[in-house]
Amino acid sequence: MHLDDKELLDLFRDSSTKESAFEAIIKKFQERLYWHIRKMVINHDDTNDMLQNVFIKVWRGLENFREDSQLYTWLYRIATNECLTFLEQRKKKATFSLEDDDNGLSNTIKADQNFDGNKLEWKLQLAIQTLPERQRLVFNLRYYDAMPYEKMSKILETSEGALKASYHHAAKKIEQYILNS
Amino acid sequence: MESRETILSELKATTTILDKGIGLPYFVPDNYFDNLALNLQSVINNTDIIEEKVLTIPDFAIPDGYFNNLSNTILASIDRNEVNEELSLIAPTLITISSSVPYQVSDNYFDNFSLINNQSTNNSTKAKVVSIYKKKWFQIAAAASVAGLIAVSGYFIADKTIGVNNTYASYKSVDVQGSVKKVSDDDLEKYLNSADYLTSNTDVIIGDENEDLNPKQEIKSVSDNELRQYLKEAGDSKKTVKKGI
Repeated sequence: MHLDDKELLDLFRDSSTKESAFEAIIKKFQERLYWHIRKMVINHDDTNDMLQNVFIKVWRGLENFREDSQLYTWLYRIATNECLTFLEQRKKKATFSLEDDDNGLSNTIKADQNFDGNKLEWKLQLAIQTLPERQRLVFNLRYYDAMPYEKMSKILETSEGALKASYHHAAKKIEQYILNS
Repeated sequence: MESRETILSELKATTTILDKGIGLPYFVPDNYFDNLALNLQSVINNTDIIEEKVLTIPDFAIPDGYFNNLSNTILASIDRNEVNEELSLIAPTLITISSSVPYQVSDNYFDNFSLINNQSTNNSTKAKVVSIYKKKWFQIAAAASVAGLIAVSGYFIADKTIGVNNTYASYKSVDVQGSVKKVSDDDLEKYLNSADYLTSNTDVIIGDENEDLNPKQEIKSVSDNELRQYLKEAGDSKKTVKKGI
């Protein structure tokens, strides 16, 4: 049964259908959110933990969701915040242990069992890690998810112009990295 | 419609054959009318199934949910084209790279995810209560250990300091002269006898050579130059010591 967000929210607010509605929400958004997170943190286990955290937060907060924004936007925003917090903590740990966190993510990519340094897809992944976190987010949402700037603006709470500029800078940097590698 | 009696009287007047009211020669199968409704219903249902089959079995198969996702697919391809057009202007190399992520996820991960998640939401509610207590317990235990450690080490350190300070203070406050006055001469004599070993070993300090030393004679035998030299050296050594301090 294909339910739209409004119907799912109504079912969630009804205590008799709350759990089944929540399961339907998970089914509907899990893959998109998983890949959104995975592209930022690279490692599957970290992604899995964070995806669970995201849905736990959704479970706790959905009842008070005021529908000022779309459910999709709200979920992406939670996942994005979760990513940024995780990366911030990771960076602090790396500073403490005198490691370079960007190298840490690149090393995680290189440690992937399917990694092939000669393939452009993998080179692109390594290039993306050279970007600052927010620029990385913008690039991923635009390049991989083909997300319109308008939607992205609602998720990242940034103006469309700023996002466009950020994406253009990111794309040029990545192209340079790939051409020079 | 005219009544049956009218019709029969009319027939009697016109013919002698039909006036007796001959019945129909047709027979109806037994219980025909009893089962008619059921039979008709089954015929209607079968017709529906056939019509449905005609509608749902096209010549070309369509993937499941094709029409449900059609609008999304079209919108996604419009967005993708927009992204590619944009990239062709700013970084054309990136269009040649597949926009699919090279990472993989284990089979059935998404099928099983909601179960894991439901467990997580349930567990997290329970665990939250437990974890708070655990945290408090650990906090209390850790705080108690630290406090204990500080108290024990503090005791040892403070005790020594207090001891030293007390000894110093007690020496400072002792009225030596008063105390000596209180002691009788006999007691003093006894003490000096018992502590004879302290006075009997003066040779260690003074040395045998100085036993018969007569200071006046010794000074007379020293020349003025030697004395000045000695005083000068003694004065320099004091200065040096002071500087060193």
